[in-house]
Amino acid sequence: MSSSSLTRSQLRRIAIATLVAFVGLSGTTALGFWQYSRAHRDDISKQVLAARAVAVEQLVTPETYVPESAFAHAVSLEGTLRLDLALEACGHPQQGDQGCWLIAPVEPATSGLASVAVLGWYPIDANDVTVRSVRDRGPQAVSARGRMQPAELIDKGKAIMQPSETVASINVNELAMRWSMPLLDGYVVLDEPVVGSRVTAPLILPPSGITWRNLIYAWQWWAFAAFVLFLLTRYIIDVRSEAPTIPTAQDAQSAPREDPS
Amino acid sequence: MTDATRTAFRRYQIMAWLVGSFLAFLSLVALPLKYLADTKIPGYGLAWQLHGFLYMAYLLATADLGVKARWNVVKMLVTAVLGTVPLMSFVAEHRLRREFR
Repeated sequence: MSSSSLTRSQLRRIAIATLVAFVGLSGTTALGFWQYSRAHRDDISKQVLAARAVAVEQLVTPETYVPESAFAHAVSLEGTLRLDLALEACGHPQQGDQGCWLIAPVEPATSGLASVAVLGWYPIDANDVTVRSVRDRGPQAVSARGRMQPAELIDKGKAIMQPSETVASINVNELAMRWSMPLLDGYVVLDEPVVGSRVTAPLILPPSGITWRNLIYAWQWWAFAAFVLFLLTRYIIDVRSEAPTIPTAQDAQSAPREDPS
Repeated sequence: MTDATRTAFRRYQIMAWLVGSFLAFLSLVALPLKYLADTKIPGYGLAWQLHGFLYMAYLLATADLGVKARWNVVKMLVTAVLGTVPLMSFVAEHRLRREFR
């Protein structure tokens, strides 16, 4: 049966089916591409490292964790550096030497939660740096850049053994209690040290490489898209193969003549 | 029923039972364990992946049977969708078994 012999009703049904299939195809194909893009995260670390600095609040919101996509992202910190609340987080070796990170909260210039900043590293037996001497400097205005990092895991056994000026790890909940202020998750390692030397610990980067789970989901979505296409094709074949209606005079005129040869 | 349809139905039956059992286990056992008891069964993520592959095979078996038994599209679509609802692939298989008897 030629397409010219399709009735209006048949054409309408095919058009509706095509429209519905188009929606289904678009959805399944788009979801496939979304999973495919999530599967290929090879370049995320490079993109994150090259990205321009943004305010911490743009990456982390109150009561949420630092998302993986924000690991190692450049951030800018503006506000008040509360050196009077400085603490040391020891157990952070650098180039084979045991040492401590000096940390303090940075209260934003505008309203919002404070962030934890790592101000620098010094060896554990340093004589020229003490938390007390840093605290004596008092609060001061700061405009600095650094890299966002996820909070460290707390070691409860160690935490209760710590002296008042020391923390076992950079745990946001513990620090919020110590400093009596709500804090954003994660911490910022400053590019330029305020105290001691620059922190050269390897940055925790966003996960990269192929995520097979997402890749498989992508192919599964595309398989569903193929099934939608199959259903549409099948429907069109079904509609076209229905019992032909009585041709109108117009249909008869427009019907192609058979070649006598 | 032709031999080809019978074979296609047999394939569909196997897939309906496989997909149904897998989905029933995952949605009625593994999911509640994870979210209510905070216990993940070993290979939880892999099991869902496997379910995805089984469902793709179920779709193929449904399409094959639908073509051979000359179903309309709505019947194919409903049978396919029933495979995504826990326990409903058993219902679909049961109804089709009675139809083909």
